[in-house]
Amino acid sequence: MAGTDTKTLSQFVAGLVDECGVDRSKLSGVLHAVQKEYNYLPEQALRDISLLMEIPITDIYAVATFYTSFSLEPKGNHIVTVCTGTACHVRNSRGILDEICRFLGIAPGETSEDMAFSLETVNCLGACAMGPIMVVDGKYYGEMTSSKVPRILKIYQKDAVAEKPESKKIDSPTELDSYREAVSKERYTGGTSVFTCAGTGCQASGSLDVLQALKLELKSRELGEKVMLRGTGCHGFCERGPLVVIGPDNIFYQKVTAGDVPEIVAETVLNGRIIERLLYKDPGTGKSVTHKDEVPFYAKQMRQILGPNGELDPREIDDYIARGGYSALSKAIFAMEPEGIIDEVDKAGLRGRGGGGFPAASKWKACRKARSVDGVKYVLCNADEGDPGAFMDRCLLEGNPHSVLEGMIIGARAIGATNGYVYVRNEYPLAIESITRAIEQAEEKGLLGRDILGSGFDFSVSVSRGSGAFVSGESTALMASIEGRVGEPREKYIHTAIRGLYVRPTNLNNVETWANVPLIIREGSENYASVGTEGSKGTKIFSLVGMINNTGLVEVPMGITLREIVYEIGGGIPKGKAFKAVQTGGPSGGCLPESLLDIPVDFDRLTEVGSMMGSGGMIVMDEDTCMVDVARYFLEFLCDESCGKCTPCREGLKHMLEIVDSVTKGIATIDKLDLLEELAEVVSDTSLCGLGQTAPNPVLSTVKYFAEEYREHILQKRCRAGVCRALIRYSIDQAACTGCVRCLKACPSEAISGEKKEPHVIDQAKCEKCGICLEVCEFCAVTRM
Amino acid sequence: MVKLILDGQSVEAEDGWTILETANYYGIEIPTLCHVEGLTPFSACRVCVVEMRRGNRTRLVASCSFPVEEGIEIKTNSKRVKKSRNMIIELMLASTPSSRTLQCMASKYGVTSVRFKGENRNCILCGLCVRICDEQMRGGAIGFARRGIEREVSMPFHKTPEACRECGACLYICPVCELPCKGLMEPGELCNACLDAVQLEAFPSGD
Repeated sequence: MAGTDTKTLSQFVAGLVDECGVDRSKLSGVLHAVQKEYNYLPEQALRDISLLMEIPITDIYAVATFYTSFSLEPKGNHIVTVCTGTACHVRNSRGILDEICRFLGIAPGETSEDMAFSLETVNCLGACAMGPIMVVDGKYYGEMTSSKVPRILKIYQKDAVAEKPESKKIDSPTELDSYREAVSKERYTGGTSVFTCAGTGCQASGSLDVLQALKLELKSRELGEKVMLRGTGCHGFCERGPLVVIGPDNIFYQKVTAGDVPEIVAETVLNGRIIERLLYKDPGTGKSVTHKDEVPFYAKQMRQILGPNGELDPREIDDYIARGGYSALSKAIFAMEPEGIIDEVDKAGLRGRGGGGFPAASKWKACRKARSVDGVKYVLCNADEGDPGAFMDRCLLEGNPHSVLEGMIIGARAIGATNGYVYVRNEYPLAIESITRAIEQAEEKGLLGRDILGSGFDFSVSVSRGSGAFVSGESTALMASIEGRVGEPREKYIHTAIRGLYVRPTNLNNVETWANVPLIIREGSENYASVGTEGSKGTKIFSLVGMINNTGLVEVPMGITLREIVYEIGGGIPKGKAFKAVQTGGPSGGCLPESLLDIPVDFDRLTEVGSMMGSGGMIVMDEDTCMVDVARYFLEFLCDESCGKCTPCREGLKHMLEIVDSVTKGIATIDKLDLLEELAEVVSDTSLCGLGQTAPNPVLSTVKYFAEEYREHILQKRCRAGVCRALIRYSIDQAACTGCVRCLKACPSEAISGEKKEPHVIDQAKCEKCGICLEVCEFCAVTRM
Repeated sequence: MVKLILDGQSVEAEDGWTILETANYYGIEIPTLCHVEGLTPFSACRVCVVEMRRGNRTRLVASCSFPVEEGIEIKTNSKRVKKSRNMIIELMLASTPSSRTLQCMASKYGVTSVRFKGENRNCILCGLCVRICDEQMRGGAIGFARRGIEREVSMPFHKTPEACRECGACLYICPVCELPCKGLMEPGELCNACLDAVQLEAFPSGD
């Protein structure tokens, strides 16, 4: 907040509008800047913006209150954010949130009285493999437990006003520049290379420290010139991060710390000796694995889109070009006709990876045919990856932004588009940075902008930043949001291919779809279509998270069975627990039981059984997950994210949540299930946009496949997974309790009593069922029933 | 001209007409809440849904904004339409029982119970006031704020803006501010006073 003393609010706003321009599409950028400077949006700022940009104050107020990234109330010095995405939810993020609320004495969305802390929830940070996640002032705390909460927050409490925690992120331009300079000097020596994952997942486990240590160590040994060091995009195996891969043999080290670095350089980099303890051990066989492709997690995958992620520096366009990047673009421009490109994509059978699975070529064709009043057509990239538990798009944009960009330029050439936008959600700051940089570099190299590669073809791309609204991923809402309006959908009775952004023909595809395009053009449609099933070609990236051994990003050929993904790639369920369900398709998808594990990954097959491919979140649930609670969780998410425009979605979901909530509390009657199903059908039949139309899927699929759990909750008042708080109780086994007082001290509601070295008891009236006693007991004396 | 089938009859419509306009032209009544002639269709309340068949696919569409197409088949009163329409009326009554428009609509279409937890709000978020203020009065004084279940019609910062000329158009067009015949209703309460008198068997069954 440095500028506030020297500049008045009005001066700040005026300067900002001057800088950004008065075009309405700049509104969200201006609001983000004010929010960042003042931690909230002062009323006067909004009034000034309204005058300067000539936008009605009603519209600005609507935008400011619609998106969660903006606040009209001042915020505290420390922002505590808890991820409540699906993957974090099944790992008990709710318990952590409750504990923070209790510790700070505020509810989510509130600020403590001393202005020290603000507590927020976010519907997915895309760091699912490290869940549950808590973030304080941008610092990620992975694998949280309720008992860790006080310890961490006390650090911030001590220096409640001053001192931000030290930042290890590479995020300032100067730091970035010096970083880039160092990296480019180390390029192309033909010898040993060291690839360190610097994706968000590995950053949460400290990979930037490792990268920094490697840099210093190589420098001090004067190896900077000889060894190619890269901080790469996500390698996918987030569970085992930070990851370091040493070439040319791809020796694979996992869970590396900065302390291991001198040894890695001395032993492996210089002498080619393997450090046994850093190798991955197959939990099945107990054997160590030396090379990356031998790790079972990678062996079954087919990483044709994700592969380059781990081998190039996303900040360097030359790395991408060196690997054959932009050759597809040049082929598309100079060796193919626009119709030919569409034909090729058609023959390849490319279907939209954003969820719906609509054939990409059909959309392109319609948009190419559509007439524009002034010749302007748009090509958009949807990176509003809001599905909780999914982070494929984030990894692609962070790790290999040029592949997405190249796809978009090829698409624009085929369609005849002149302008493009990449719409990225605000929760992905690294991805925004990465794609913005990629655009600049491509422009410098003449691969984007005017007269691309001297061909006379013009196409320019801008980045548009979301502001925290799941529904903005819906195509018409996304377009409204880019235009600087409230991101709510409208009827699509006239397709966006004909009348889209700014009433011009517009083609929207998702990040992963675009990343597939250069591959199709480069390798040819026949090659591409040789992978997959009848109706689904190529590969699909999934984020495999939840209760599974190997969490992370996986890319598999279409047609592989869910069982292969869960058990062979994912390595099965941890701690010997039983598998219960796998959830695909996010809030629009469904939960599939064990009996359906042998179906292939295929757009049509997944829809047939009541789920959907979705954008690629795959959340595994074990016996400790309550399916009614999962349904309640998704409804809560959707109620929160519904724009509220149409009645069935706004009112219908609210009442569905009410019914499911009463089931989890054991106060529902059995006839409510019929009402629930009837309501679900109407909501899906009559809602305005895709969000509402698919919203009942999580409920319908759990009612269908896990009906007995619903009945148990209602008839026997029993939650077999021990999740629904109203239906469980904690007690202490008097024989096993040693009276160590750990639980007594830890209990936040002072419900436990007992003398030292005497068995303790829980006062059921006071117990809030947070489960901390169970977590801290070392003698297995606390039981949950 | 576009040829289509409307409740079993072959009819013609002008290019660019919506299904609602076409139905009204041929004297077929479709209920609406968020639609008034002269304002931009909003497709939000969904009581005007009709069943539309194109090729082998059938789906429900909002008649107020769906433009007619050659060869489509429309049913305005099929079982599927009735079920959805009544559920939507029921949902709105659960939250806003003290609206004459809604209570009369319930009687007319035979909604006789509210099975959901009731509330007592005074707005169904149809957006008529927002649109009449902006489009007809050139005021732009009121708008929507927040989202989801917190969505509301509001003036910026809950203060009357300069743009408001207090013309009263918003009040005039609001379907909720007129009380039912029995006055204020309790949450979940239904009037249904003229259920038998109004509910017409005359509506053709589209099935």
